[in-house]
Amino acid sequence: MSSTYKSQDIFGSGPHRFTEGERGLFVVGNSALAGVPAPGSTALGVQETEVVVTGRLMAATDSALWTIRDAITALLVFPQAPGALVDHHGRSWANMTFISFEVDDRTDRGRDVSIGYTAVFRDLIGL
Amino acid sequence: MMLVLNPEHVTFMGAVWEGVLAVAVDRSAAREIVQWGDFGPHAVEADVPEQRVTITVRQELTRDAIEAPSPGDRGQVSFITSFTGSEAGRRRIFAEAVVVAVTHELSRAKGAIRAVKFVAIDPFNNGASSGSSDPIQVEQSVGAGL
Repeated sequence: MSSTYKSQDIFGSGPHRFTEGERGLFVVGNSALAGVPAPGSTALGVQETEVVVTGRLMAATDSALWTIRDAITALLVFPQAPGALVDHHGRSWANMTFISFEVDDRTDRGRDVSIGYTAVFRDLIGL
Repeated sequence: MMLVLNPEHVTFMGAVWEGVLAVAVDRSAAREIVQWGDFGPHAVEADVPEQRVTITVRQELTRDAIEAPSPGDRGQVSFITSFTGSEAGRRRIFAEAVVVAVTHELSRAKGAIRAVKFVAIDPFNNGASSGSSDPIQVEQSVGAGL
């Protein structure tokens, strides 16, 4: 099945893979919290869920590749508008905000025009 | 890939090279993309967006060779080939190329053999199409006397 974000197959032009970021507690040193030297650390809460998608966008032409890139970056909006992210196997993460999209250092022009990327989604807790 | 044995009339930067035993044109990936997906162990996409075309000229030396190309020299390397060594089907193969290595093999059995290795480059590399043309160009049905 295709992966989706907000029900859109935004990465479907090429192969891509999903992985989760670090899970755990958000721990801060007591020195930082107290403002004075202090031993130990304090857990402030559970870390936000982060999902990282890495892959390659592929198109027949440069302009077609830009169309795909523009459609993806158009989803990087503020104020954030979270949505569901679903991987190839139906695993779904709700309330995910698309927070960054970074492409490789070059567009590759071989048989296809393509570029690698890393996209990061996070379930923002907010203040 | 291309291997031409005993080619006729090999030239570089206007100089005619005698005693050429073979010219080899090799193509390899300077950068390759291999991608895997989330469904299984096998690659799902592969492409070669950056290629390297090399030309190696092996030349038998029968006398001292003081003048030799140097790495960095750039010019057109050209040679004539035909299937039977006859006038029929003669083709001129040429490329804009840069010398990257000059080496010598010395042995009692083979004598002295010089190998000049080139990297072939896009012949139209001064315009918007830079890098999109195959460096190896072939001129068909070349007449005698070149």
